Amino acid sequence: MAGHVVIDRELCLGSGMCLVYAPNTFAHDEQSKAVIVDPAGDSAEEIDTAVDACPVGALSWAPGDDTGGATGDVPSTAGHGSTAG
Amino acid sequence: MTTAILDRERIKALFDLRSAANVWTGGDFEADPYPIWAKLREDAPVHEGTLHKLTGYPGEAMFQGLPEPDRAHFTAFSYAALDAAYRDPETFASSGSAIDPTTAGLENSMIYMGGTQHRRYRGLVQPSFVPAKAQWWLINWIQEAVQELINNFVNDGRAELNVDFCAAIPVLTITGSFGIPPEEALDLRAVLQDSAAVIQRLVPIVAARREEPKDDLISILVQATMQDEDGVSHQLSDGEIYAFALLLLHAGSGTTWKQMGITLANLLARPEVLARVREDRALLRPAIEESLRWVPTDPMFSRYVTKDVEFFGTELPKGAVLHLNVASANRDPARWTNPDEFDISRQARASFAFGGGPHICLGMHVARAEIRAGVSALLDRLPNLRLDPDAEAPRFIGMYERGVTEIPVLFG
Repeated sequence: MAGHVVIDRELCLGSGMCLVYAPNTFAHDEQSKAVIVDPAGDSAEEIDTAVDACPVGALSWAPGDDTGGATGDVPSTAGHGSTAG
Repeated sequence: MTTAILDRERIKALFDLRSAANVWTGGDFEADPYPIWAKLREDAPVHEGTLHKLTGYPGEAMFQGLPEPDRAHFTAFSYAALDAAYRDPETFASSGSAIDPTTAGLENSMIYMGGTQHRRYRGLVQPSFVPAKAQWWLINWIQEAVQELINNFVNDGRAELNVDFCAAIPVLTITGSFGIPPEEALDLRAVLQDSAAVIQRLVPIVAARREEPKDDLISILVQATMQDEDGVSHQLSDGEIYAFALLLLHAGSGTTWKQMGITLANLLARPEVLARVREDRALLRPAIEESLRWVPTDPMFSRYVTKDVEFFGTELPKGAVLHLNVASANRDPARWTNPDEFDISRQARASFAFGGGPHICLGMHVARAEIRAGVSALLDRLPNLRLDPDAEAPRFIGMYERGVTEIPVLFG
C-alpha cells in the first residue's frame, strides 16, 4: 500500500507497540500518544508491521502524500508526520 | 540491597509450577498441548468448551474467566478469531459485571473495566510503562536485583536458574517500585491471594508517600490526577491505588519470571543460537520476541459475550465466556510460516503473547526490559554457560500458567 501513516490520537492508547516494531519512526509525546518522528525511520516492511501491531487500530495507511515514491502494495514511508483527531 | 536473605526453599514453594501453591491453575499438567491445539485449530476456529477440558486436562483448572459454572464456555484457537475478539471489546467484554473502582480489590481493578472507564484509568498509569520509561525501571530496581542474584552463585560453577534467578527478579522489581524492601518481598508474594493482607502492608506506604513523595510508583499514583466522567479532576483514592497495586503484583510477579525461564531454556537448548546471541546482543530482542510467540507463559485469557453473535461459524449466546487461546493463535500457520519452529531470524510480527485490544499488557515493556537485562547479565558474567548434561533438561509444563521445570546450568 502506498501512502502515509495516520495516527488517530483519540484511539491511541499509548501501548507502545508501534515503538517495538518501528522504533525509529514512532515515539511518544508527553501524553504518551504515538507521534511520527521520522517518516522513513524504518523500512516500509517494519512500519507496516507497526501499523498491523497497533492493538486498537489507531494507525492506518492513508493514500497519497508519499515522499518516498512508493508504488505497488508496500509502503515506503510513514508520510509527513501526520496526526489526526 | 542484598538478595542473600531470599530463602531458596521458600522461593521454590511459592513459584515452582509443580508446587501446591500453583496446582490450582493446572501447574501439574505436563503433556505437550501444542499438537492437540493444532488439531483443534485445524478442525474449527472456535469450539464449545473450556480450554483445559478441550485439551484433555482431567481436573479443574482456574484462570481469568473461570470457573463461571452458570455460563456457556467456548474457546477460540485461530489468529483471525482472536484478533476479531480483541478488537471488538463491546461484544467481547473483559468482565461479566460492572466494576466499582471505589471498592479496593483485584476484582475492581482496570483489567476488568471497559470503554471510557478503562481508558481513563489506563491513561493514568500508561506513562509509567511506556518504552522510554524502561530505563527508569532498569536503573531503579531491575539491574541491582539481577546483579545481586548472580552474586549468590557466580562462584559455584553451577546454578538452577529458574528458581535461583528468574523467579525473584520480577517480584523484587515490583515490590521495589512500591517502596517495599527485598526482605519483605516474599512475604507479600506469599499472601498474594489474600487481598486484605496485601492492602494492610500497603496502607502505611501510601500514607507516607502522600506526606512525602519519592521517585517510585506509589508516589506517581498518589500524585496522579484523573478526570471523571463530568470532567472534574480528582486524585486517586487509597482504594483505587490498592486495586492497581494488587493488579500489578498479580500480573507482574507471576508472569515475567516464567517467560524469562522459557527464553533461557529455548536458548540453552540451542547452543549455536545462544552463541550468536552472546556475540551479538542485538539478537536478544528477536530471541525474546520469538520465545514470547513460541511459548507465551499465559496461554489463555477470557472475554464475556455481551450479545448473541455468530462468530467464525459458531453461535455464541449472550452471557457466554469466550476463552482466547493465545498460544494456539501464536502458532497459526495462516500467520506464520513453519509456526512450530523456534526461529529467531523470522520476520518480526506482533503475536498475542501480551494479549491484544485495549487491554494489551500494560507492563509488557517492563517485562521485556527485565528479560533482556536478566539474560544479558548472565551472558556477561557466566562464561561458557550451558545446560548441565547430567541433570534433567528443562521441560515446558503447566495448563494456564506455562513455564519450565528447572534450568540446571554449568559455567566457567
